[in-house]
Parts: sequence; C-alpha cells; structure tokens
Amino acid sequence: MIVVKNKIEKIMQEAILELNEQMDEEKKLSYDKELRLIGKSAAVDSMEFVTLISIIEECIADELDIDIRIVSDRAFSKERSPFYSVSTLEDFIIELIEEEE
Amino acid sequence: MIIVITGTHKGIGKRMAEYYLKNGHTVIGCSRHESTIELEGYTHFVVDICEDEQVVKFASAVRKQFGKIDALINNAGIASMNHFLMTPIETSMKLMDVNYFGGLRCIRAFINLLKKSEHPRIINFSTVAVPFNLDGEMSYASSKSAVESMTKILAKELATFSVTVNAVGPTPIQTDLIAKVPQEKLQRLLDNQAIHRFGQFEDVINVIDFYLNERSDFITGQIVYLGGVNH
Repeated sequence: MIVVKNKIEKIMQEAILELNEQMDEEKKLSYDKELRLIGKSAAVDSMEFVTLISIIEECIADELDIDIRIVSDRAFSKERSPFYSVSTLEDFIIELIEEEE
Repeated sequence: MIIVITGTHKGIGKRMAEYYLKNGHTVIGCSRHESTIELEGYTHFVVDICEDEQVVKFASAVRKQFGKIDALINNAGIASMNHFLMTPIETSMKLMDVNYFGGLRCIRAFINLLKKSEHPRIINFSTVAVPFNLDGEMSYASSKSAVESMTKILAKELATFSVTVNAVGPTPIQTDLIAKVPQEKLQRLLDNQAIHRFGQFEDVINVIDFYLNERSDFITGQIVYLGGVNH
C-alpha cells in the first residue's frame, strides 16, 4: 500500500512537471496535495486538466505497466469527486491500481 | 511507421495492411478471427472491438511490444441495408456498437500510444451514404454520421496533442460489405456521383496516404468523399 502510494506521488509529481512544460511561466504548478484540480479555484483549466489526466495514465502505463482509465462512470458517481484535488486524485488512482493488481 | 488497422481479416482492411507492409511499415492488425496475413512486419491480435476489456488489453499488449504507434486506422465496420421497418432495433444497435463505439473504444485505448508519435494520425471510415442520405441505409448511415461528428470534434479536442483526425468516405467498392445490395440500387448510387464508377482500393489508399503523410500535420477534421460527392 505504502509502496503504491509513494509511486503514485512520484508519478503525480512527474505529470505536473510535464504539464508545466506546456504552461505559461506564471501558471506553472508546484506539487501540492491540496492543489485544486476542478471548480472555481482550480489551478488548471479544463484542457490542462484533461492533459494532466492523460499524462498520468501514460506514466502509470510506462512505469507501473498497468493500463487504467481514470475517467469512468465510477469516478463521476463518487459522492466526493476524485478530481477535487491532487490528494483525492491520488487516492482514487491507488484504488484503481489495487483493483488491477 | 507503426500503423494499427482494425478489421484486417478481409476486404479493404486486409488490403491496407498488405499495402503498408509491402511499403516497409510495421502493421498491427486485429479482427475477431485469426490472421489471414502472412507477411513480415505484421502482428495480429484477435479482438472484438465491441468489448471494452478486449480493446484495453489489445492496446496494452501493443504498448508492451511496440511502445508507441504512429497511426490508428479505424477500418472495422459492418453494414445493414434494409428499410427501417425491416431493421430490428438490435441490428441498429449493433451497427452503432461496431461502427461508432468500436472506433471510439480504439481511439480511447490507443491515444496515449499515439501521443508518443511525432506525427500521430487517426483515420476513420465514413461512407457516401451519409451525404446521399440513402434510403434503405438509415442505420448504417446514421452510425457513420456519428463517426463523422466524432472525427470533426476529436480533431479539435486532440489538436492540443498534435493528433490529426480525419475520415475517408468511399463510394461503393466491390467488397463483401455491399454484396447483398441490389445492382439497380448500386447503379442509382453511382449515377449520383460526379464520376460514375465503383471505387477502387487504390482510390481509398490514395486518401489514406495523404492523411498519413508527415506533411499533413495541418490537415485535420476533414471528411474526403470519393467520386465527386459533396456534402
């Protein structure tokens, strides 16, 4: 569990760095568990969010050799959106990976 | 290039696979049946594109073996040509499942592998039955209309990843797909084209070559109909 958690944290950090390469200097992000991903105070716009999700899926496939689809009916049907923040997204991804394993 | 082509068991899909293999490309094909292609550079997967899990496993296996792809050609498709009162709803749903959702599943599954290419391409198959609004082809044409909308919208949504998304709309080509269509109906259709003849495989491949060309980075969201058919 802790091993997976650490790996996902690392992947999230890498994904944010990769996303930063496509962002203007003033918008670049720092890894922060509380970073908001959706809603009015989100740090990313909708396209940047889509790109981030895509990068994360790609990193998980490349580094963990697991193919997951983060966006699903299940993600949208959760009482609290897994896309709310970096922290909730990490938790949701860990849940998906544990099911795959 | 590494090209994924769906529906390579027979017809245009098989010919496309052979064509690109003979031109030195790597081709990864799939169909519900075992491979009928025995050429170097070809890898086949038995996949039902109507099954999410099979498509995900297909893309996963391709990722492990090839690491990336340069093009996805959504060729697999089925047709049903009948008056709508003679078409069971299940038939219409099946058409949509193969022709539209099948392509969509493949795009979703392969998008991350495509993004690794310098010139990533998605090519879909439509039909002149869409602009002609052909009677007797309501379900088939509707499923291909969905493919056209998908093509145009994904062209916008995937532009940020430099992925181009286009479609080709062939006129009738003498394959199994139209084997049961009455001759007089086919003739009426040909009469509506600017050039009154059946399409050839070479006509289709010409458009696909154009879309695949690395100089076509600025060509996206296009539907090219053969034979001089206008929307």
